[in-house]
Amino acid sequence: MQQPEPNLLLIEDDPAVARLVTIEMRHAGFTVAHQPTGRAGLTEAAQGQYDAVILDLTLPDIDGLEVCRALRALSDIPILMLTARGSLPERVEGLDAGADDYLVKPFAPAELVARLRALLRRSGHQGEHERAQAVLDVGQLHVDTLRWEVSFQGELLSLTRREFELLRCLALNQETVLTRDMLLERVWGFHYGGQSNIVDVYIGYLRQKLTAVGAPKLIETVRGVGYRLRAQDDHGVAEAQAE
Amino acid sequence: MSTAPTPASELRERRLGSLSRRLATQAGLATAGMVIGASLLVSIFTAIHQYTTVSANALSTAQLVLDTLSPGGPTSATVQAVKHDVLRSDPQVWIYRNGQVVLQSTNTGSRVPTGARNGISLADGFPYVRVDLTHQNLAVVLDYPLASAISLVEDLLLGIATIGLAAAVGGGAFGYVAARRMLKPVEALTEAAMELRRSPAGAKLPELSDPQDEIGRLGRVLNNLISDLDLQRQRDRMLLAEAAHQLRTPLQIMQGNAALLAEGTLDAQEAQESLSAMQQALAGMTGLTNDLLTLESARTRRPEPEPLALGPWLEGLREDAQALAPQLKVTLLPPSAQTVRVDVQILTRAYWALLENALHYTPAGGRVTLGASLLPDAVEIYVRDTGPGIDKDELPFVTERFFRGRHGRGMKGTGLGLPIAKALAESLQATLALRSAPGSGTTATIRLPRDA
Repeated sequence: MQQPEPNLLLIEDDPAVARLVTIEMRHAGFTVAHQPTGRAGLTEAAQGQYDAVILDLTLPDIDGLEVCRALRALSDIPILMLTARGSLPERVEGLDAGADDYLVKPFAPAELVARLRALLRRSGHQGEHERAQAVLDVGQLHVDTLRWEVSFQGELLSLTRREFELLRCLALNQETVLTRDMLLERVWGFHYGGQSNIVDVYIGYLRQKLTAVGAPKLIETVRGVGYRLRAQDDHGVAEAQAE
Repeated sequence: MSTAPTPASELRERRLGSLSRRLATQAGLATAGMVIGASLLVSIFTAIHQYTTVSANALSTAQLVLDTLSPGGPTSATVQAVKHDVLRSDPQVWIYRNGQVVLQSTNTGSRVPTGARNGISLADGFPYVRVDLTHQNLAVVLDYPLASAISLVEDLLLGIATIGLAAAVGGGAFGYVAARRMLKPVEALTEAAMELRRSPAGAKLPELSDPQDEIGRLGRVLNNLISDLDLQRQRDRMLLAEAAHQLRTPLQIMQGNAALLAEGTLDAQEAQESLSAMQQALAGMTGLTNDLLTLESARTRRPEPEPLALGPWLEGLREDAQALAPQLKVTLLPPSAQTVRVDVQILTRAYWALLENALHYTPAGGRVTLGASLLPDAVEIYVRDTGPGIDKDELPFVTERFFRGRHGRGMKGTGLGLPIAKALAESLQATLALRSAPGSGTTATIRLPRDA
């Protein structure tokens, strides 16, 4: 993965949050430029070469939604919105204004990194292509989204609806880490609230079923972040070669 | 907000008493108007009556002159009689024979009657009633002065003006006094309300008048309103206090572990433990914050209804519940209701809170049943468990924020699950019903009105 470091623009007025995000992004291998106001952020976005924008919703000069619309009018650069207000109408408003994703404070830094990676990946042409595919192949794993069938090395898996949708979501974003929140949003479509570990429970069931067909390490746990579906399952590859 | 000092403007307002002044003015004007109107009517009738009387007098006098003169024309005897009977008095008389004035009363001076032959005329600025009678070659013109009648009416008008003014003053005074008397309880109410603003919660307005009259009713309604607001305020305060209280423990964990980490004396293993303790504390605080925000959003958020197919929706929830609680048997009774129009996000959040409760409290091997039934006017979506049930004395309180029953002691969770379910259900115009008997489990039902 010797790609140039993705170049991020952070528009955020709170210096403490800005510092935290900047440090975390640098550790994750991004370069970050920071602007504390909407005006300065817009100017910078228009002039610089950025791969994605992290935009705070409450800025001292211009409303974050306005900045988002202006950015969207300028280009189709991925925009991730940060906000302290997380109710559904505000989410919808943010997405309507052209944001690609929406993160509510307080968030874990790893959540932000995972979402940015997913955004950057999706904005690349490769991601777009995969989204449209009805049949997904991840190594030896075959996911047919039209016939709702999953097989590993030709062997069919019997999955419940949620299990299938979870696996399909992971397959769509193969090699990308998806956080629990991202999976909840994409598979369940709503937050149940509370502190339920429902994603972990389903991942457990999926793993059991994958292990039963000889693919125990397909779903990787990324500690403190989430899950990733990997094509290069060492174990599975070894078995495939042996056949 | 609760103990703001009475602003100066409010005090000034109290002195103005504009309502009593307005009432006084209106009463004064009304009284005066009535008196003046009645008096004017009397004056008009008096004037008409005076005119009729004067005219009749004039006519009879003229007839008398003519009758006296007629038999032999104006002879010295008849003239003497006319002079004696008529000409000494007020009317001015001219007697014509063959169109020539043969006699005129002394009070006419050199004046010759001109103008209209009958009716009211003016001569030298004095109004009079003129009568003109003719008999053969004799004619009598008689001007009967109206001055006395007019002065009578004038006197009457002056009297009226005086009485009207007196009536205005009297009426005003009466109005003012009456208004003051009537408004006295209102003013007392105002005073009491101002006093209330400075007093602590729980104070009430005193009973200021007959509780059955209009102002008594106003006072009672205000007192009810105050009670409601007080209750709401108390609940909000308790919520705030309890929330702050619940934050203390995780904050303590954060503070203590941060201090330990800052000292830099922990070994790698200990540091890791401190960090994960901090993360757990953070998760708890985040959960509490989210629950509080959800409660608040239930008050403010407007539902956005959309069609929801109950069967697949419940099946998804059943699957999730079963996945989370493999030690239980989670089943779905085939719902008799097909679709509802409802805000799916809100309904899911509310129903999940009930489901989570059932999963929480039902011991291993127990059964949790999901279902929905169609009623004539509502759809009931329920979750039934075989848990310990809720004791009768606790049933009314389990939807109170942060309430924890006997069976819930020591369980994790924020204590906001059922209150959230209740608040969210109510935001959908639905009701939440809990039926329970100790030992036989609980049924929690969201009753959603149809076409709501």
